[in-house]
Amino acid sequence: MTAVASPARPAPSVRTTRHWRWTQPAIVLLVGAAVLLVVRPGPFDLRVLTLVAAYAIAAVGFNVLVGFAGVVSIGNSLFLAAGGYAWAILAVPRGPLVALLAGVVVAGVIAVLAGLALLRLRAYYFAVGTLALGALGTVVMRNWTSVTNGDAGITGAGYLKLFGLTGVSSIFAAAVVLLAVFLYLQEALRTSPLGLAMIVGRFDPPAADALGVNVSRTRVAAFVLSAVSAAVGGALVAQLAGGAFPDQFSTTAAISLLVIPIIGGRGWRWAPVVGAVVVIAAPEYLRFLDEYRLAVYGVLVTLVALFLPGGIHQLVRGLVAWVGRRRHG
Amino acid sequence: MADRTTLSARGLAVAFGALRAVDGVDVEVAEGQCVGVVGANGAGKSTLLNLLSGAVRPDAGTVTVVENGRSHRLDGAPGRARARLGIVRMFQTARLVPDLSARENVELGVPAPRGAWLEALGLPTSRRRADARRRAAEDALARVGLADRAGIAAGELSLGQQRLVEMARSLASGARILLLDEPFSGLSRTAREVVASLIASLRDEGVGVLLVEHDLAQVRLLADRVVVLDAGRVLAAGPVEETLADPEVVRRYIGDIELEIGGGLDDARPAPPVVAVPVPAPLDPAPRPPVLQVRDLRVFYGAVPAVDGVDLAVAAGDGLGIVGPNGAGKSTVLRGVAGLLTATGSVRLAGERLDGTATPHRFRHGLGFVPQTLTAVVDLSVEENLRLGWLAGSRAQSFAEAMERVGDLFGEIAGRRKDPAGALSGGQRQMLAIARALVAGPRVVLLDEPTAGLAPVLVAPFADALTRLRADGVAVVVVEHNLGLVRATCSTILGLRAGAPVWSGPTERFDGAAAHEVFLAATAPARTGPSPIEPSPIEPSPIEEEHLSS
Repeated sequence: MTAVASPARPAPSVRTTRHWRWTQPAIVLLVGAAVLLVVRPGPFDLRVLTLVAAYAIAAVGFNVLVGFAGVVSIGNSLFLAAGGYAWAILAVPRGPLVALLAGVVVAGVIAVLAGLALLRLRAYYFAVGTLALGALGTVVMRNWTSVTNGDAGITGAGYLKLFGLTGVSSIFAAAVVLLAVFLYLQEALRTSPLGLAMIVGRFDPPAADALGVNVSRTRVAAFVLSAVSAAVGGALVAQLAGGAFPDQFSTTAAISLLVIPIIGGRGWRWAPVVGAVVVIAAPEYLRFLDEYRLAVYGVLVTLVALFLPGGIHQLVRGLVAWVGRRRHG
Repeated sequence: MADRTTLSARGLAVAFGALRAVDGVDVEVAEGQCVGVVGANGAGKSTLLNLLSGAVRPDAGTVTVVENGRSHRLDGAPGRARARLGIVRMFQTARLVPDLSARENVELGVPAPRGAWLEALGLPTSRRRADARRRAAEDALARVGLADRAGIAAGELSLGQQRLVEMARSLASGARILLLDEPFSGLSRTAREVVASLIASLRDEGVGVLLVEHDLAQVRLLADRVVVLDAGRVLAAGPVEETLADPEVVRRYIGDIELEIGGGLDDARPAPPVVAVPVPAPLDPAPRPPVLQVRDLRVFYGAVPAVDGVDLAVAAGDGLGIVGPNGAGKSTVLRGVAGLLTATGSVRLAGERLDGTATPHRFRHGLGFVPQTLTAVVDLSVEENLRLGWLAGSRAQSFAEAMERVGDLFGEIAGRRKDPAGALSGGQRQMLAIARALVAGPRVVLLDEPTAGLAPVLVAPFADALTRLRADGVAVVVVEHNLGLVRATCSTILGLRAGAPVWSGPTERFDGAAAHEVFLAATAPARTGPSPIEPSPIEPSPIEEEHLSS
């Protein structure tokens, strides 16, 4: 009936813009459980998967920062480091909850201060400013030896024990649970007034202002969220490595964080997970190529950047549309 | 009455460089009142709105809001502070987030209660709030007649529909004072009626409306008072009819607006000759070979054809007008021909096939396109902008020759060739956009709503310029809502509705009945028109299939 009544233009592909918030965390938890109970991967594969999950957590906040608020940071390795070192220093003497929260709080406070100072700058200068922030982090890690133990790093960090599991399996389970939590938060944010305000601030700051949105405040909020999720991801990276070391949290790590949502398709809710699989797992499984490994990886990333500016999300959307066309003849 | 919500400005002034855009303007809007602001292009109307909404800081003057009996001074307050006091501004072009659905765009306007940021944590209470926000947005969309478009990404709506979505956003915001920047420009007659009745009902509900508008018919209909601006100053202010009858106002601004180049729909006579140049008729009766021939054009938004089965042909020096209601696919046709959207079907220009080629290739081979949105590079001077257009074209004539031609057609632009394009007014920028297409030396120029945002006094000279362009041997294809302009400048008319051609024929035959058929989908009382295109009964158009299957 509506088909008859519907006016003028043919309805363009209706994009359902709201999802049931629990579907994505549920899928992640189910897949995680299936990996542990059914697939039972070997120790190397499980390590890679855990690292993927840890980076996916860190990338959730980054996806919000880049995809929602439209701000690019190259310094988020500092927040990974805050989480990682807080875990390594506090987990054994003070317990996991204190360690995790301490990392989150330290990262959050740094992000608020840096965000207020730096987000006055225009996009490119902000990126340069965060680069300095990351470099500052490296200097502190290497030289503040009384806390960080310098280049040697801190060992014997311990790990989260969940569901009676031990070793890497337990870290993996913790990473999957935390990833589900952050993905839930991501979707809750996207449909909330704050998330919508971030998105309109990215597209059209003057219009956002006219709508009563404080654009710089939403950007700081996104920056803080990216710091918090990076701190949690950093804590998991430290657990997996058995400690915190400066090399884990170098600029390379920050670049990986930046590339993950862009490869995945910035702003897409699956971007952190899909991007982390490509960016973290792919280089590991290309090891059989020996010294050509990074060259091949670089070419792959370049191809995505050239032909899929919307990231893998673009590919998925195209596939969905194609399947839809086939079905409707 | 002192505690009525009132927005008032005293002695507002701002200068951009040497230009005193607004120079000592007083204006006041109280709740339940509609104040019209009229004036020629460059009179400072949009700047006044920017000052009132907080997007631009005034050099001098005060802005005060009285709300709930309290008075707030807002001279330097940012736009967001004013928005929270209920001063809502609508931009001249709809500014929606293209990736968000229509409903989410409207939700952005729904005032957030205290602690709304907690919703971002996904707590159980957030669901109720989200539902309430969603209902408010859907109600607002229903009021503008777009309830069935709620889930569609805003970028996929037609410009008229986007405007209505923005209107819905203002409705949902619970605005106390609404600042509207030409809400009627570029809208079809039906959409105008929807917007006009919305504004009237908002005013009656107690919202104060400041209406910047060129269409004096709407101002007369809606406004209680009117402020006439001229070169940044108030030329006259007061009750609408008196003010508009003020001989000074008539002489300085209105000029010959009542001459109404916009021939009414019901006006069956051919348009009166509004300009010195005689109404163009085909120069010789024998049909000439078309310079632009388009066959079976289908243009796609994503996978869905928004336009289907359009044929058109224009000969050198001819004019084709494409008319139809909002969302009919008029602009889409132009963008399909220009190669800016995915399209199938054949496009031939002077015998050469252009379909399947990239847009720059088409431009080099004699196609000119003037988009609806004003797209000058604001940091470059007028001349540099024109040179860019010349470089992209065929370069059959030298730049100096091309500039001379611009001088003939748009003297006002040529006179400001050294100024940055950003300093031009909206109307002048539109002229620049057209001039930029002209310097490329095109054989066919496609114009998308050229008079949207143009002051009425400029419409007649503009029609004159188009006619001279045609006399120069350039073929013109115009998408336009102003039927008077179409009839004055075009020799043939193509009527579109719902993405398909419904009428085509020579301009003389486009009468009230034909217009009713195209715009209102009403069966014309007597079909005198030569070729109301009969949809073939055998094969239903794919558009209808799409509807049925969805």
